Amino acid sequence: MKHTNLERGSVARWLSGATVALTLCFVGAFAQAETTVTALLPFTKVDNAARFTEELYARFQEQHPDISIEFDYLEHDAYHTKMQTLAISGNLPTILTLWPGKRTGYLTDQGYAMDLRPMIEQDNIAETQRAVFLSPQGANGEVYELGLPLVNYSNVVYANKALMAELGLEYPATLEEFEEQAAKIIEAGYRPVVYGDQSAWVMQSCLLSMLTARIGGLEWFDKARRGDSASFSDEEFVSAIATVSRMVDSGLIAESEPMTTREQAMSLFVSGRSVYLVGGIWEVSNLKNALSEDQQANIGMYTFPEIAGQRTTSASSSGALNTGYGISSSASEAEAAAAWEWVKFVIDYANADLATKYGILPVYKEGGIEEFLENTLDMESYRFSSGIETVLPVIDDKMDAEGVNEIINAGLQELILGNTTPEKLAVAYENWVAANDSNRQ
Amino acid sequence: MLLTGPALFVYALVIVLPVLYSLVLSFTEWSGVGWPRFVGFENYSRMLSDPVFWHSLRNNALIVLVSLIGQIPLGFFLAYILYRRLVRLPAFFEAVIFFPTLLSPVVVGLLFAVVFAPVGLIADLIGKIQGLPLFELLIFNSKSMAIVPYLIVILWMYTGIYMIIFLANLQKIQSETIEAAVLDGASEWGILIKIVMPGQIPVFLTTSIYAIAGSLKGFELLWVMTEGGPSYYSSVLGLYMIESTFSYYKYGFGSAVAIMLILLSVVVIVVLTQVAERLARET
Amino acid sequence: MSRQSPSVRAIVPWPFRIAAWVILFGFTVFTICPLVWVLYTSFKSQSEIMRSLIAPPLVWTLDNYRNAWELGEFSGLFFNSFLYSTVTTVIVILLSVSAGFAFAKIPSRKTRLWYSFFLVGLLITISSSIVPIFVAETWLGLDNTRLGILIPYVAFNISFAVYLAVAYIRGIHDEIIEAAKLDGANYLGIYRQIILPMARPIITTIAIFTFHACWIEYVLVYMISSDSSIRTVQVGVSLLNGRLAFNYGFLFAAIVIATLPLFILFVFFRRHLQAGFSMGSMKG
Repeated sequence: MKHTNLERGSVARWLSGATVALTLCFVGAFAQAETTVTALLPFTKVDNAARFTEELYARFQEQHPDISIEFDYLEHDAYHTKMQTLAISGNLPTILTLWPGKRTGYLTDQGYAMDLRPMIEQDNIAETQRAVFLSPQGANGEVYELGLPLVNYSNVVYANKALMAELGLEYPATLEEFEEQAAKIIEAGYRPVVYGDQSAWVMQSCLLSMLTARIGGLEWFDKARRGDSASFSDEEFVSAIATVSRMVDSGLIAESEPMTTREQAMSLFVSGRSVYLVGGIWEVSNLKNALSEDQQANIGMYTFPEIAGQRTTSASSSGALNTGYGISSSASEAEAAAAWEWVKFVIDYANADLATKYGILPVYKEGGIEEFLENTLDMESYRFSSGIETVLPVIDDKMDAEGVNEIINAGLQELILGNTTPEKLAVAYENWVAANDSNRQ
Repeated sequence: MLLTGPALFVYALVIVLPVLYSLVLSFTEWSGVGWPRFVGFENYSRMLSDPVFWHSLRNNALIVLVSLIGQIPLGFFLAYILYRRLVRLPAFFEAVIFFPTLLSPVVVGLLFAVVFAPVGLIADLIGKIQGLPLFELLIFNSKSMAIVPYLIVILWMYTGIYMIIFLANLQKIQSETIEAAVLDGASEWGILIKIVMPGQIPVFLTTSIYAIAGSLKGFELLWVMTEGGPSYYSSVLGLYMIESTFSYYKYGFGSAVAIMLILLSVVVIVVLTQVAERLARET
Repeated sequence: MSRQSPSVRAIVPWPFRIAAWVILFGFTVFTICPLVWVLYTSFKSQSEIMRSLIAPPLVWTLDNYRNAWELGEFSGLFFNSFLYSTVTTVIVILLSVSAGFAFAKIPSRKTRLWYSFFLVGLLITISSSIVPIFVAETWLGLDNTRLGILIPYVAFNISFAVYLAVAYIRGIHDEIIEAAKLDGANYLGIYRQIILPMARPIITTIAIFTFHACWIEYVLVYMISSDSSIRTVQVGVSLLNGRLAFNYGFLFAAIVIATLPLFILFVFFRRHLQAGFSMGSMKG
């Protein structure tokens, strides 16, 4: 979308009924646009983040009438494909959406993104942001992106509390109890847990990552990642994968998971055909779309039950830092300055009310966001996030995508179908990592 | 040359140049930055030692097979039924059979993902009939069967186009010939074999080439429907190529797969044409 | 060409008859049911869809259409879809019929080679050549322009069109052309006065296929364009298909919106569709 000049504004007014767009065009039309920058966003318009960005930009324009930003939206996979092509042909937008982890390594490792440290220092960002959100991303401590300060937890157990009451269940404290429940639930004619693993990353991101770091511990994971006297063929990783097998055997993971989409899993959960849904914290917005206010009050959000012998507390979930905005290294000085204004605006506590309105719940150094919360499910979500004592690494956030996709994700699906063993999978992954992963080089 | 010139120019620019570009890249390792590094046949040998490549190739072979012995004969059979007016409402059936061809692969993929899902339309129906609330359709869970739902969908989706092609060519048969045969007491079967079939052999050949070309390159429908899963069980070469190129920035390797796809298609088509010409000469 | 089927029927064996009915019935169910499903689902709210993917709507709502129309910004996109599809179709027809004439009727040793060269295009997908195309367009300054979308569209559709045109024009009797030659017509004259009028059925067929192919394409458009003002309806649809956030209601409404023009096209031109597929022999 473009909100720059009068001509476009008037055309868009004719063509679009969107009130937000209308307001923006209007603002855009009268602003004295001095610097125009472009931005590409990795989500589509059905995402709350799109509506949030539009409203945030409207507010930005009031305060910075001299800067206009042309936003463009693309579906996640399409975003990465297009960014690669844009990078190769030297056409990157000014404002890049970057992942703090490995996902956009094809840009950050190749020098396409600016190091933000000088600006961070100059504007004293450390005063208002928690240190974890300013942690180094590049080999030499570079910081390439800053985003809304929040962790995207990838392992949340959503529970249908009404159905639990009907079946006489309490949220299980341990994995053993969880497994006992599974048998009871199946007997009663319901599904115990749904995930929606057709896209294959779900089982890894939303379950195995948590299992690995709970069982192996943070220290072990970091060593295995670097190949420093630990590896992925260790007992720790095998045992994490074996736990997945065990959950298949006890009915906590259905054999149909590898071909169930997240949409179908969500449908099973909200229609009361499954008691639990395991997924990321992003499912909150999908749940809000699918459930009435009353029904939303029946949803509980929990961390995964205790696993015997775990090295990390049960008050933990796997999570990756939120994506953020970076600046293309080919931007001119004026463009970079304008883009930086936007980055600062996004992470400003003064705009926390807007993020919260769209169910995006950041954690600021300066203050909480409880006062802005209205929706019951958002409150539950905030309660969940605030209760997390340890954030566990998400494997695909820390390791190279090819190894994770081709070996772990594909392998977990084969494991669920009974076509491979935890040992084989662990060894295959270790071999790939040892030979190819950038963490080991 | 005057007549073909403009077409050739545009064609060379957009089709041939990229193919040459891929050919060159297929002998290199390139992540999209800096200069590609020459690696000889390494990409090809790595591809040939990858089980995912072979399983995708096997699935592609099944797809070609469904086109050749499914879509085309079925299309001919349907065209024949409609041409000979062996059923009522031929115009209605013609429309119903052809319409799927017009839908976008993305729409069809989305649709049939829900139809064949473990908890989808079919599973729901069977579950309701049998009174099993937890019934799940697990056809995808078998490594060898995972591609079957896709085969059913493409059989449904593209048969219409072959039907239309045959219908057009059947219209060229002089109706007097058939009427005379009927008066001579020929059976429907006899008419089909002796009068109708021989004239359609060139059409069978032409449609086969089109079918092979289409079967090897397509992947969009499959991507939306199964994402190549579970694991890589329903993957095809087109998907394999896109994944290696764009998911992991291996432009050299991706190009090698692309070139392999083109080579395979050309080989299959040349073999088919040769065999058909020999058959035509012998009969 | 006789447009009528022979009216006299032989005795149809019963297995043949049963097979015919089973197959036709199967096709009808397979086609109608999913379409009806998409249609009524597009009138269900997201919460109803999630409660049951299959049940018909309890409350019929137009909200999905309203939201999809606004979020997808379809009004501008329709213009582009029509523009690309129509312009591509016209150019492809002009180029392919002339090329088809040359390949089919102008004897030359090179003809067969050039023809095979063209057919290779049938094997190339937009996705596999998108990177080189994009790089080339950037050099030429064509990225993010309508021309930058039209040129590849023409190229990607020309192979199939030439293939159809050659097959059809081969079926035109050589005697007609010879007669015109004796009357002193040159190739250009023959092309204008004989081939073009006689090729009308194949032109319709090429038109339908090309229009359709352009209409449903979206990878090239979203890669080449960075400005929503030059995008198409299919890109609009893909923008309603999220990864982490999803809304089937919006998506299905968008699908209906995007498919409707094709449906109308089909209803109007169905009768003209098959005539063009009448083929001459493959030997060239």
